[in-house]
Amino acid sequence: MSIRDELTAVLVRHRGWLAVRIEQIAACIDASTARSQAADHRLAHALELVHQIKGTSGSVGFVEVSQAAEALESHLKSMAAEPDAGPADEAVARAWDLLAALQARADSARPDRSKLLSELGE
Amino acid sequence: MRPLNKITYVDDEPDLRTVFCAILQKIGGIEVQACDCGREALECAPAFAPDLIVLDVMMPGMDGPAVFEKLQQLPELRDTPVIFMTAKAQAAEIAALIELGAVAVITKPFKTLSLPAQIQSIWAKCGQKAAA
Repeated sequence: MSIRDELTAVLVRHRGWLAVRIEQIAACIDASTARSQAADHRLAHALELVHQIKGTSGSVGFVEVSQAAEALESHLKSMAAEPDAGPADEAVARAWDLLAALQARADSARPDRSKLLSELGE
Repeated sequence: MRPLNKITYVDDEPDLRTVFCAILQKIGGIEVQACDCGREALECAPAFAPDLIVLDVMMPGMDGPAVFEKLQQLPELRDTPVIFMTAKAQAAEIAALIELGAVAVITKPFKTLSLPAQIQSIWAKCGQKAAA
């Protein structure tokens, strides 16, 4: 198998990986609106997931996905900084908007749009 | 300076393991042993005898720094240089990893196609330090 074929297979698989994580993040944001210790854990888990996406998607060449994940990570960090009060409605709405932006980037993350493959050349 | 022939790479993300191995082996000409967790690395790396170890920082179970400490207790790997990989790019976190004993920190997302050259450059610096 050529290196190009091998990387293309990774990029195809990565789309599925992204879809699962985005679904998990959505469930975490949904659960984070409650004022409880469990809600704090869910927010922390969402942060771990979005952190993974930032590093992994960027490294396989999906730069826009990584940037969208970074924006969501930054926002979730600010939400997590005030756990006692629980997140404000505006903050939760902003998290959903940023997740939708991440989803849109993930939807368009096809192997032929990966910076990794374009830099590798033919 | 002896050439860099073998690397043990430890990362829980399968896509990154595949990409790292493909690039380092096929472009860099370096043999790579990929491990999905610290426990596997501690079991398998001594027999592989890598020249260099690349450790992801954030892993479930044993994280990168914990694996590093365990590696330091293995006589076969005590002197093997370690590079950390992390998506936490803040200067304080990078400094803490260097303070721990890593020879370098590569931040994620990494520049994948530049990895062989980047790692060779780090390896060359390790050789210069050892010779000094």
